[in-house]
Amino acid sequence: MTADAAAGPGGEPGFTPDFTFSIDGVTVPAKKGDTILKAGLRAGKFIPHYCWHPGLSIAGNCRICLVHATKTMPPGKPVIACATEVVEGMEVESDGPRTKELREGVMEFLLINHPLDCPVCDQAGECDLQQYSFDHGRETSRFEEEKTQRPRKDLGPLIRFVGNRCIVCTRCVRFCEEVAGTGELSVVNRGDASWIDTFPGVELDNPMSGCVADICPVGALLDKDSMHSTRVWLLRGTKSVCAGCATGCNVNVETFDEKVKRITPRENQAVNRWWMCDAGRLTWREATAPARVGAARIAGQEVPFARALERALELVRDASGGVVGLTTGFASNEELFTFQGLVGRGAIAAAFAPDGATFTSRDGFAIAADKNPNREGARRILGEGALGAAGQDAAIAALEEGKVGLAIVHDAAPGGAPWSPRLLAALGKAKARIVLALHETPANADALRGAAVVLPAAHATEKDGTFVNAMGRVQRVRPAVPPPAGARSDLDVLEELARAAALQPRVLSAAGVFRRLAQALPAQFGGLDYNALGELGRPAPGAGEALLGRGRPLPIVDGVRSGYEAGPVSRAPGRADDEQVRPSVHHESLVGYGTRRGDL
Amino acid sequence: MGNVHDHAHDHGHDHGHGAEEEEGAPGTTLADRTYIPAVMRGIKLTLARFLQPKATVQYPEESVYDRGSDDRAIGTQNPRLRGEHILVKDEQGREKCVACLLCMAACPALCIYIEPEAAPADWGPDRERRPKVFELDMLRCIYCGYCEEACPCDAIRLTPKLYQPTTSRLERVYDKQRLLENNQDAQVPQRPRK
Ligand code: SF4
Ligand code: SF4
Ligand code: SF4
Ligand code: SF4
Ligand code: FES
Repeated sequence: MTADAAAGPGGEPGFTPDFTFSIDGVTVPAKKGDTILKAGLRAGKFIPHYCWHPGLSIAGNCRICLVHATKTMPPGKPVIACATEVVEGMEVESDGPRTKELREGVMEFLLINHPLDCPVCDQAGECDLQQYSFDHGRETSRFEEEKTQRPRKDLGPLIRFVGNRCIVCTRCVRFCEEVAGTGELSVVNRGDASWIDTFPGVELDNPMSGCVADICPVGALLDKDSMHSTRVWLLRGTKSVCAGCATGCNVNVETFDEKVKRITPRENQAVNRWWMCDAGRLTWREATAPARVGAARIAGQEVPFARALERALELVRDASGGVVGLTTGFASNEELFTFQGLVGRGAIAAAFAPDGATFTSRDGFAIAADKNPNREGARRILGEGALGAAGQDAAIAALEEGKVGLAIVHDAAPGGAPWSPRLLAALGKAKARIVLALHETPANADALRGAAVVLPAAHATEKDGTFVNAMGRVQRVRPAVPPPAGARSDLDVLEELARAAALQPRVLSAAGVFRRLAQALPAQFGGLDYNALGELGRPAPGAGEALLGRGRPLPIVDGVRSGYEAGPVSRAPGRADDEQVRPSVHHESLVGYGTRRGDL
Repeated sequence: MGNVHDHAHDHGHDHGHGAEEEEGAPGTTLADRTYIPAVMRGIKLTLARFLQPKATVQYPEESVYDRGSDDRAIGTQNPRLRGEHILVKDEQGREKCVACLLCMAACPALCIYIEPEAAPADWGPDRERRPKVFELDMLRCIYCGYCEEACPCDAIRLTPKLYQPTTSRLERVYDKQRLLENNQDAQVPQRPRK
């Protein structure tokens, strides 16, 4: 937080005020060209808005931001704060009886054709219309005529449109045009019959289409993935990082009752702006996929986790001969570092998920082709020699020599790591094999088959640690849900193994491992402090132009960091806060009765 | 403070006064000293009570509802009594609950647990969702009625039904089906207006 604050008010780098003006008698610094709304937000003065979004062009169509200001033409006429430039000495009235009346009027018009849908609307609880209606609306409606009916339909694979709730702010239309650059959406018809639709024959299926559900200020555009699954006020957000690709989008993993309900983007101007891709949004489903290795096994038999771990510790203690380690680009830096210590001088091979679809938005947000969240971390910790084919060849050579006593396989890759068939065949030559696996699929079935011990590996939503993204930024992943029943996280397991191998006297937490890692690898991680990584991460040494050049750099043009996050969406309790909402106690009471939910 | 002091004083005075009156108190006449009239009065009262209808309810075998409402000792059914909940069905027999979770949010005892799901397609366009799981822990409930108050659909009601004892706590956690089938007397789609 401290370094964020150092970047200037609202986190905007290099902000130097040109002059001051006042909002409700409070002096506010501003730059030339600022609008009232933006300068106000920067200074922490919130003015309600629907159609304005810091990442989109100004449309000025919703009118909720009307304020009174001096030095405008004609004098005395209310102006919209989102599109009116401030001038020196301007006096803005944003919170008085006159503005209250303006907002009441705007709210009354917006609600004329709005259904009373809140009980079944998935936006309820994070809806700007609800919030402003509560803050600025009238208690009753004077509208007696019949409300217009607009369609309800799927616009694309991820997005459902509920026309009656749309306030035609055009945020979604501008997003598709200005950010995604795909322009699928348009306003159709006029007046109270207007709604949002795709062009004929077109589907809203761009790779970041889910973002329209986030930016829609009402419940007109919904993420079908989380629709009807919970209510937002129950959700508890964990500030983490998406493990879908090497971009490392900052996300909120939102959970209820120890289950992930959805993943939403979290603003980080240096990484993902306000956005994330659709594939990343769905990554939480990997943790509940049928292929998930849910229980520990000894020689193919399911056993309690503690027993399997005990057996693994024995294997490490009694290991004779060399050790070979296989890992993936899905392991965190801490896991990689401990893993490296565990394998010691033996060969390490890291496998990576193959490249996938890439996409660059018009504002510079890039979905990386590299689908490994931590390839850069693996490169920095294990060195080039361990990566890809070179690493696999070294491991095969070591295994085929026949002197390997123990092979440790850490496969946290969704869908199984793509080891080469030769490597899988050579694995059998090791005397014993410990496997930590997330999924069991045809890709890694050979590694699991014949393993002395199989332990369930943690999904990214269950991990504590750090990833290094493609641009060399070190970012925290935080555990949002516990690993499968009885299991411990991968880092814990690896640390226990390292202790059993007499490499260290005690088991360290992710913070402890990171401290050792930063000391051991000053060129790669020097100067970084785990606890100072904060919510937005920090660039690692060498994360300069060269690394930025790999993806397209993200120009921080005129991001006002506090802009979006000051909105009611994120003011909603529990939405982005780790501590605010307590989980229901009721659930535990049922567990106490010795039953599972639903089977009464 | 002054009042408290006065009271203490009065009390002491009353006590002294009572002691002075003991001369003419009951127990000093011959009839009193033989105890016979008093015993007869006692027997009369016992016999009278013996012949009156019993107030004891053989709970739980016998329900308190079986008693007539004129029995003032027990079992009076005030129609506004807040007892066990029901989930209400609409005219088509679908549960009225839309799984908005407002009752769950309002409940101060955290005894409601709901998981929503999309309503079946054949329910038509007027119903988007319904509860998949609806559980109410009657033991945890404090019968405050906040859930009923919070419900926008008149889907949950407290009815004047007192609960029957059970032999396990688990039986007091009602699921959706049990709530829908509970106290059918109150199971009318529209709440009668009084
Ligand atoms: S869009 Fe907002 S106000 Fe409208 S029904 Fe949904 S939650 Fe309620
Ligand atoms: S669908 Fe949502 S974002 Fe799009 S115009 Fe309507 S209210 Fe605005
Ligand atoms: S009556 Fe009160 S305590 Fe009982 S379920 Fe309703 S809100 Fe909760
Ligand atoms: S009973 Fe009423 S308040 Fe509770 S979830 Fe159902 S509709 Fe909502
Ligand atoms: S008109 Fe200003 S925010 Fe919509």
